[in-house]
Amino acid sequence: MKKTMTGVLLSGLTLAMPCWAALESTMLRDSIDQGYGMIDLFDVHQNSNSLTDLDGFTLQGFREQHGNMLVFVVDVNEASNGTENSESQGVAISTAELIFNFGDTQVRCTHYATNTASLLATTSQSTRQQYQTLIGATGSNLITPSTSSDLYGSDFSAILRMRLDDQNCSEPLPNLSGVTSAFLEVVLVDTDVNLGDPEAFYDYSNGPEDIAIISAQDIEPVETVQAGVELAPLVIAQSQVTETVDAWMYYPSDNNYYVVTYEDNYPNKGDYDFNDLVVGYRVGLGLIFNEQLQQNEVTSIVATGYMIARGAAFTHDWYLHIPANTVVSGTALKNLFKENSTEQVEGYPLEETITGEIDLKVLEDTKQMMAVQGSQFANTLDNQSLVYGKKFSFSINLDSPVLLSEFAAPPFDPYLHVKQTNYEIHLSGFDTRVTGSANAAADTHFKDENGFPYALIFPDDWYPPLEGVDIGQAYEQFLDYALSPSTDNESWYLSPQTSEIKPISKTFWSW
Amino acid sequence: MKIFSILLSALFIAGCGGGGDSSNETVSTQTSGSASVSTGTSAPQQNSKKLGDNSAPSNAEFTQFSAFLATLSDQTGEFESQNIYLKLYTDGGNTLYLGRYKPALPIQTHIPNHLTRVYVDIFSNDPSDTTITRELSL
Repeated sequence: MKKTMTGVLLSGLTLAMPCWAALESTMLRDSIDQGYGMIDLFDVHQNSNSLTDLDGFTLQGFREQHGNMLVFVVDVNEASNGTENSESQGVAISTAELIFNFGDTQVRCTHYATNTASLLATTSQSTRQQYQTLIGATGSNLITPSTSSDLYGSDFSAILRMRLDDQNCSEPLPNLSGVTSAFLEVVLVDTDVNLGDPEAFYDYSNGPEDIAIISAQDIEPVETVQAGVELAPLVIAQSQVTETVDAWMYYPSDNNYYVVTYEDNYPNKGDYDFNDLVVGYRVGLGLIFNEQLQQNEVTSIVATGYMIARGAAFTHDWYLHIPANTVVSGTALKNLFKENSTEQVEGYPLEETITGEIDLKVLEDTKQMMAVQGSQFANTLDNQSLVYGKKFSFSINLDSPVLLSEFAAPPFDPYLHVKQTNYEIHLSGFDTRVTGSANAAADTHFKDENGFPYALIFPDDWYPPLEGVDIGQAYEQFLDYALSPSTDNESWYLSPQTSEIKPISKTFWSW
Repeated sequence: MKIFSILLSALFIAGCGGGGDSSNETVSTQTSGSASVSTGTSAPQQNSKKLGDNSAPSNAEFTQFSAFLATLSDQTGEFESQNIYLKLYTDGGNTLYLGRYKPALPIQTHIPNHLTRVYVDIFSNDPSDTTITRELSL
């Protein structure tokens, strides 16, 4: 009885609501490709849940839902340049225009707004100007109130509002139920990627960007997630809902990596080829300014890197520890990508809770992760073809900001746990970390009997020595520099003995 | 990690491009953690550059990067906008810092030892503000 009454009440409520209340967000067939899109607003995507194309009546419904606007949402697919990655990527809008045709009459509406903007130089204008931006993330898996929405479980993330007021249109816009065709024309900004970020981040070299017309009920979930915004560079908030960092600090830069290399025979002396494991990584710190303390605080941390080479019979786990002088808590999202692919390894992305210290196991069982059939080694033998290594990235949102001054200086503490020997290997001067390791809590300086370290950090234009080749043989200035550094020999790593190194360049390994 | 701090140099400023007067600016920098400060007794064996044939003094550090601390005086007196941004970068546009400009706050970066210059752009969201670009010699 109660159930029946509820059903009657709900039915009555439904009948009393305006017809556009049933509108669902709908993915459109056309997309923005290579910086340009002419989107037919009637033409729905083949994967849409909508069984029919849109029409003027439906567009009028969306218009009324949004208070004389049409609102779109964009799935940004640009993880290719600058600090763009799966968790944050962007484009910038040069122009966006709605074009409505009513038989012989055409009305064009040109006002658009997004939640974010940035200051960008273009290929034709070197002075930075402010442009509205669209920011997104891959794998954001949006949850919408209705599972019938085309946005449910999708990566659509960037809202684009188009106002239809008289002052924003070429002439007053009639009721759209009479429109015979309608288009959204979008031109993206051709940013000068040679300048690095922010221009590289907001370029459109990848794509295409899918687009959907969004219902009123789906806007809040999209804006709550604000996928990718916190990790994007130079974001100028254009709405109350947008939370941004004040700055990003990149180590060593937004486009360079630390290359950490290991001799894994600790505590015994190795062969000094420094290729037992070679990993490239970089770290970005998202900062907000604490007005009261007049200091920067860290709110988020991102890292990206690649396996470059592995010249060892042993296998290892590789960690990145970012030391801090205080307790740090937050949530990390770890990504691990298949070689030369945007597809993640099974089990990723992986969420991990940070309690106390930032110390993430990033690579597990390196021998299995970078295997060449018939060989113990990868990218360290002279006659071996180069292979791609896995790519990793992680982002950490801290539960509460931590003073930048509490964090250790870069390059932080990238370390190795050798599975066969159970020893861990750090840069010289760091303490052990792994509970139960063979050298846990040992007072070690991670230098061998000859005073040489087991781990070294190089710039990313360094090449690993071939298997068994002493680094001093591969780089004849290295020892001189190490023992007596001067401006004459500080760029020693740019002058290898080419027959003694594996010529695997950053261009290759940072695919 | 043992760090042997060395004050390498006061920063030399060479203003370039983008307008603005560099005569009243002050930029201070400090570098530390320079590669392998050697005071030890070991030396390479003659004719061999291999590590396996040599030994290193206990205080050698082998780092190829240096910390670089830049503090910029307020450059924005003539800016109309309150939203002022700074980009610190190396050759090729490799960004070290990108975000809001806070003149009082030093920016600590970590760059390869062989780099001798970094660059600063200071700009705002007001089109009437002229971008300030500076080259900083390390």
